Amino acid sequence: MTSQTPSPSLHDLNDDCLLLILSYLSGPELVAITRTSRRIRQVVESPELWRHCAISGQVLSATAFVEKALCPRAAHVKGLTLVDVCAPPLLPPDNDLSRHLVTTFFAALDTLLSKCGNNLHTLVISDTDESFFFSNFNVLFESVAQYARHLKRIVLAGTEETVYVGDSNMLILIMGCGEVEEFVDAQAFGMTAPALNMMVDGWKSLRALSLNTELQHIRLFTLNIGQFRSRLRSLSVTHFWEPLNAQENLFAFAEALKKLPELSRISIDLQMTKFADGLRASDWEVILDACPNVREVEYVVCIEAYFEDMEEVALSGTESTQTVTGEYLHSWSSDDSKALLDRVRVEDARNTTAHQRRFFHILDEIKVLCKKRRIRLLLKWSI
Amino acid sequence: MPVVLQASDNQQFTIEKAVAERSMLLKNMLEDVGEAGEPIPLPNVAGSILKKVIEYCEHHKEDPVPSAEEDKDAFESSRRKADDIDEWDAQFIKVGNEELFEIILAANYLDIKPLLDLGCKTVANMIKGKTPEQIREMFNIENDFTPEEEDQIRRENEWAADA
Repeated sequence: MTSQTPSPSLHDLNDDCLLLILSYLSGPELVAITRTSRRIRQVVESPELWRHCAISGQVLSATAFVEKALCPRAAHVKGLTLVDVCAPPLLPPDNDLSRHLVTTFFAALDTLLSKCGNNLHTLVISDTDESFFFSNFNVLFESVAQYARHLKRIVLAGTEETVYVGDSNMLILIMGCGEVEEFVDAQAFGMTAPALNMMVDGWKSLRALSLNTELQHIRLFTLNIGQFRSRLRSLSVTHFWEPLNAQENLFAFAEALKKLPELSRISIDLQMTKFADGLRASDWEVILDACPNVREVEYVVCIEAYFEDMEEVALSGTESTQTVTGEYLHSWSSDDSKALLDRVRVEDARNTTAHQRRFFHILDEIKVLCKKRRIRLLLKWSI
Repeated sequence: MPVVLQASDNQQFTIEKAVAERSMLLKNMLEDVGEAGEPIPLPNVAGSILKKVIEYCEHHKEDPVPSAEEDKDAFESSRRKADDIDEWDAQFIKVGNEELFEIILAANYLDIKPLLDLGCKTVANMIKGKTPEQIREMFNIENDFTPEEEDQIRRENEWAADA
C-alpha cells in the first residue's frame, strides 16, 4: 500500500471491499460488470450479492433479468423485491402485445419462484407509479402460494393510485404461505376486516404486523386486532379515521392492546394529527399501561408540521433510509433526537413558535416516561 | 487522554480518544491495553492517508455508533442506495482514485464502517452506467479474458447491455 504504484487498480482492493462496492449495484448493473475481468466476475458470483434481488424497470428487460440472471442463481435468492415494473412506453395497455409482454413476465417470475421454492423467505411488492403488480395479484399470488410456501416476511406497498389487493387474493396468499411471521401492509387503503380475520385463522406464527390504518375505524380495528392474542410481538399502526389522541378512542385502542399480552414493540405514525400535539406523555402512559411487556416504542412524527423552513438545518448530517413506500424516513435514537432538538433550539431559537416549543416539551416528557419505564424510544421524522 | 498514532512512514498524530474510537480496531485496542500513552503503530497506513482518515473521524466524532443489528442485515434488505451521501462527506471523498482506494483499504483495516461505506458507495457511483471498457480504463483493470471467453460472456449478457 505504498504510494509508489503509478496507477492504482480496482484489483488492489481485497474481496471484502469489492463485495461491499458491488452491493451498491443493481442486479442488471452487476451482470454488466461481469465482463470487466475474471476477478470481478468471480466476486459477482458471491451468493450474498444475490440474496435479496430487486426486479424493476421495463417489462422486457425485467423479464430478461429474471430469466437470464436470476433463474440460474435462484439457489442464492432468499428475498425478492418487485417494484415498479412498467409496460414499454408508447404501448397502450390494452394492446395485444402489451398483454403478451405482461403474461411473459409473470411466466418468467413463476419459473423463478418454482426454482427458489422453499428458500424464499422475503417478498416485497411495491407499486409507486402504475398498478403493475396490484392489477396482477391473482396471477402473481397463484405462483407465490404454489412455490414459496415457507415465506416468512411479506410487504405490500401501494399508493393512492393502486387498487386494494383484494380479499380473494389475500386468501390465496394466506392459504398457500402459512408460515408468515411478519406482514407489512403499506397500501393506501389498508386491510379489510375479513382479510384481518383470515390472517388470524391462517397465520398461526405471525409475530409482527405493520398496518396502514388511516382509513380504519378504531373500534372495528381494535375488535379484529385483539384476536391475534399472544401471537403478536410487534404492532405498527398509522393514524386512524378518527383521531387517536381523543380520550374515548385512545381507551378503545388501549383495550385492544390489553388483548395482546406478548407485545414487546409498538410503533405509531400519527401524521394526521400533525397540527395538533400528537400523542402526549399521558396518552403514551395509557398505551404503555395496556401493554406491560413493551420494551421498544417507535413514534413517527411528521417533521414538516413543525419545521417548515428548517428541513435543511434539521436534516443535514443524517442517514436516510428509503422505505418501500418511497417515503424517506430519518431515524433517530432518542439521543440523536436530543442532539437534533438542541441544535434546532440553538440555531433557530428566535423563530421557534409556541407550537414548536410545546411540541419539544411533549417529546421531552415522552422521553422521560420511556426512560422511567426502561423502554427504548425511537423517534422517527417522516417528511 | 490523547492517543498517539504512528503511520507506516513514522509520522505521528496525536488525537482525542473519542476520535480514535471511531475506529473499532483502535477502540478494542485501547480497551485491551488501556491508555499506555505509547504511540500505536499502524504499519498498513501511510501518513497522508491517516491524516485524511483522522479528518473524517474528527468530523464524525459525535455521530451515533450504528448498532450491530442494523449492520447484520446489510445484504438481506433490498439493494442498498448509493446516492445518499451527505454534503461534507461528498466533498471529503472528492479525491483521486489512488487516494480513494487507499482510504477504503485503511477504513477496512481500521474498521471504520461508515468511512468504508462512503468509499465503496463512491466507487459504486463511478461504476454505474459505464461500459466494461470504460470501467477497465477508469480503474486500470486488465482484461484477462480470452477473446473466446469474452465473446461467450457477451452473448450471455447481451440483454443487460443497456439495462
